[in-house]
Amino acid sequence: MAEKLVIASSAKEAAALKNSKSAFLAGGTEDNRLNSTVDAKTLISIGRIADLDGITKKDGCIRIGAMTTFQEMLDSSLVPDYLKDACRFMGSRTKRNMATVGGNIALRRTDSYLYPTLIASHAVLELMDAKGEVSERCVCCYLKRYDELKDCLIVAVNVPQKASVVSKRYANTVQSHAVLTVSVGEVEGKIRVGVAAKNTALKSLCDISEALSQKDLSDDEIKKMIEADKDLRFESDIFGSPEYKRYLLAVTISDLAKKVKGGKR
Amino acid sequence: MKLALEKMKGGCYKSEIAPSFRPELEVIGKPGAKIDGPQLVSGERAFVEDYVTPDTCYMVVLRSPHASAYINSIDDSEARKVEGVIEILTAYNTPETHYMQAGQGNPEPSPHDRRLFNLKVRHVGDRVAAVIAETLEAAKEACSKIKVDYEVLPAVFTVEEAMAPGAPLVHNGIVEYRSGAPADLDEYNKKAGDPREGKVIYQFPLHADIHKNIAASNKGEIGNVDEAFAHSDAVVEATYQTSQIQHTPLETHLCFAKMEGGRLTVYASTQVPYHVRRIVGWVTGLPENKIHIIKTRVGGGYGSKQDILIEDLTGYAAFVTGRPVFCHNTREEEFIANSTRHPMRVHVKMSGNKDGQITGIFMEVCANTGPYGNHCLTVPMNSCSKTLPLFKCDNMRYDLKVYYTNTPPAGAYQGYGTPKGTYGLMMAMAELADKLGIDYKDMVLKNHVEEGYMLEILKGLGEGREGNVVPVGSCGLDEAVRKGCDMINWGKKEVSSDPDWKIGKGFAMIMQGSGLPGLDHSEAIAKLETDGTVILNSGGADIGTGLDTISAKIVAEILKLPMDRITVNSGDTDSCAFDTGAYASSGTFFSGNASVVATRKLKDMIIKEAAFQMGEKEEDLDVRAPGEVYSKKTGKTLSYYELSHTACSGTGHGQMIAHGTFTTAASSVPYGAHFAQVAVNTRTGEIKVQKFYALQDAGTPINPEVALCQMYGAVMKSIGHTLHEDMILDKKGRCLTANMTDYGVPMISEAPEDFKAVLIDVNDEFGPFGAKSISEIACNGAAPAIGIAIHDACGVWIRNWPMTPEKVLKALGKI
Repeated sequence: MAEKLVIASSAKEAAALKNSKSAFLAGGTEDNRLNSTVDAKTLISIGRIADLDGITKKDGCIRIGAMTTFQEMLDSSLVPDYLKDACRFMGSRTKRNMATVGGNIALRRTDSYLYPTLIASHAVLELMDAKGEVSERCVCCYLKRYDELKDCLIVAVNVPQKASVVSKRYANTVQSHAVLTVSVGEVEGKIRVGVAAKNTALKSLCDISEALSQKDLSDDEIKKMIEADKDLRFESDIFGSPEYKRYLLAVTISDLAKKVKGGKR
Repeated sequence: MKLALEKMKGGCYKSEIAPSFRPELEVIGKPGAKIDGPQLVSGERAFVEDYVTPDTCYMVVLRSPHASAYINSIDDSEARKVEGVIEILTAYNTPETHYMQAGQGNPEPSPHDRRLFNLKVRHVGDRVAAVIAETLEAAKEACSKIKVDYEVLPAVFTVEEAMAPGAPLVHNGIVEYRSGAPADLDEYNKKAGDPREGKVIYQFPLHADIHKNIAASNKGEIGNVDEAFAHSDAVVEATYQTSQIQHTPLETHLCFAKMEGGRLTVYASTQVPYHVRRIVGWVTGLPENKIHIIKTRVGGGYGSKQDILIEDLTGYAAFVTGRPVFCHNTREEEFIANSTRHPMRVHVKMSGNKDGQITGIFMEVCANTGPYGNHCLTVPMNSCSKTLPLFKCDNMRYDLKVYYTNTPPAGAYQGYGTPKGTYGLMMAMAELADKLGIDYKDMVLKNHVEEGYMLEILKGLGEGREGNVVPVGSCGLDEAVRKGCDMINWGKKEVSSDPDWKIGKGFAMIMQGSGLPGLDHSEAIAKLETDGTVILNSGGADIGTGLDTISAKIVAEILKLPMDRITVNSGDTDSCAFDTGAYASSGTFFSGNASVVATRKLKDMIIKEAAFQMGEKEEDLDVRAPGEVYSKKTGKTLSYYELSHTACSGTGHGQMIAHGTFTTAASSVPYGAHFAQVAVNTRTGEIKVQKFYALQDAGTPINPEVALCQMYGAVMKSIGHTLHEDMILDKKGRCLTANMTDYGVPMISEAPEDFKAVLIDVNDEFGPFGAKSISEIACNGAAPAIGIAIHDACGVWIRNWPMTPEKVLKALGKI
């Protein structure tokens, strides 16, 4: 449980304050939640940093400030529809008004609303380190190198204005945690598949993405590739059996890929 | 949304909120706001929590981590050192009184099989100790310092495990009977185990056998079922399993109790104030005149607040400490330590002929009551007694057994067993129609009961006593079925543009009761105040259902008084007279009828006093709006103010106070039919409820607006049970879904795309102004309607709750 709240007045101040015992406080839907997974002695509030707000367009990219809420993204005329679809996965209107894009990315939940879409659209994050220097990393890199980047402040996320991305979320109810969220996107001729599998994995399915970029795959072919992926070791839990989850992931990738490619199943 | 848009556009809305009924009446049958609405929306003091005083102590309960264990010892010495701790209660310093927590008529058809604290814990979450401290933090800290030495025992979690030979016994103590003890009881008790097992005390025989984990049983038959099966064109036989689900009221269980002037005052969010008083009296040893129960507004009950789950311990804590004590369940405690819907295995065998006639029905019900026997007989009884009487069938048999297990406790839940029985019977009928190649609708129309049909099956289905064989009374069932079929275009196959989505339709007949004839009892006291206004003290418990509004409307209608000149005070055991409480769909029918009796008596008193004061004959007088007596002969009038003022002026006859009591042997049964259109994705297993039409005969809906709300709410809950909600236990009996997110309560996003509630207009002979019950029945239809629709969509029968995508895929052979 947090014992101290620091209100940062600038991004640089916030980034400099971050260490292993602190966490950024963005919208607060996770930090302030009963039984929160965030374990930090100090919360660094970044709610008053103007640099983290705003949605702008530049060179075919939409830059979304980290403190932009889900509702602000939904209300924006700049945010592409495929990302709005992901925002709508958050069923609670109350949470949509609080939760931020940066907070959702930083949490890296395996039932993430946004990650699969951000992976599939090849989104790029702007990260500020403790020295105040900003670097750009694609979402997949951020996930892979999280241990070295975890104390960086997410300043903004950049997504392509035009990309063919389709997503599907499976949950018991709209407000339940998702057992599976899958996105398939085509950006610059390359297929990308992002998956958030509850209690299992949050990742880009690189092998399947590569294969789908080359050719169409059958359900069975996708299923075999899923079975071969060591990160996708599904277990039986309240969300279902491993068999169910594997099957669902395979047919969903297959269907979404066909949609992205414009084909009809 | 429609109304809001209208109002934004034109300053007011003109659309009808709800239909009106009974044009000859002024306020009965007309839409109107709830009388407690302003209090609730303005945030006035209304709920238990609002009455907690600053000097209040907090109580936190230490709960068992084991599903079954003896307590060897409890060391609370470190806990007592925590600053602010007032008292720690355990089995070692609390009464050995055996009782049960079901708020039922006394003597209860439930065994007295628990104490405030037992020396054997029987489920994860069972009470072990309670800390009363000056702060919540101190109570929690002290709780964490209590050391308990357990002797862990093997446990059973399903009826199959409980009935297995040699199964661990949930209760194995001494058995006693208050009446009807069997001759071999002494011999039976020689098998009793460890003294820490405690006792099981029956008020009367429930056909139980704790040495087989059987908490209660019953069986009966009319006609010859085996003969019918042997000579029918087709027989189907299947088992339908329902899951353990929780009521999830927004307001979790809570209680505030304090001693004042030698009396114990308990602020309770309850459906049964008088049962609370009785049971708190049992555990404290206080007589009822020393206990004052104040029912506050209730933040959701759904049956769970029919049980005395927290008031017993909180009341006792305040009594022994002399300090005000507040206890408030966490959401997790609601799941693991409260009450839930009994999981049931309903096995149905049904036969029929090619002409669609159902010839025989057999229902075998195995229910899981959990560790204690709250409602253990009557909930499973309802799965038969509120379903079999839907059928005109001469050969019917039921056999029910209820098993103790080590799951979280079960108890009363809106629908009270009927949703499970309805699920089994309606699904079986649809399976039979399918096997015979008959349209399900035709089979329903051929076999449903109608007014006047004698219900022989009820003979053995009383609540622990012989039931009344009565004819079907007012019945809107046929109209509900036919109208619903028209609304949903029954027989027309809908096709989706996406080949993966298959669309199907289903429906179910439903019924319930309106209270318990011969058992329920309601009273009301109507007072004409000195300014001509009326205060009605109703024993009934409004738990958000609008019962107080119904009582006010009854007074307004009979006395022709404006609603704002009537106040209803209800659920206060000091000022109101006895009422068995708000359960078994009794509120409108029983408590409402008591209000009718009291108000009509008050009207008679008013007429009599007016005749005296006006010098007229009683038969020439009547009452009229806005609250006056007038002479049909002379045209003279006397306002209620003048009348009452004179009566209380020192020379008059005194205040007019009328007392009404209502009991009856009459059954006023609400009927209905619920329809669903679902889309099933045969590739992913997803299920969408596209349409849901709930058609119900509620007699005269006294407040149609609130009646419709009741229907919508109950349907949403039952859609939740059908598709989403599930208390999943691990192998040690720990609930893995003890929070709202994982459990799966449906929200507005899960509402059917096209959702309609329709009131079938039927006037009942016995109900107040022709009213019957409305809410519980609305829980009964969703599971079979959706289950039948799923089969219509994709050809598979989903025979257990919740009907998940994974189960659909398995049934389709996809996984």
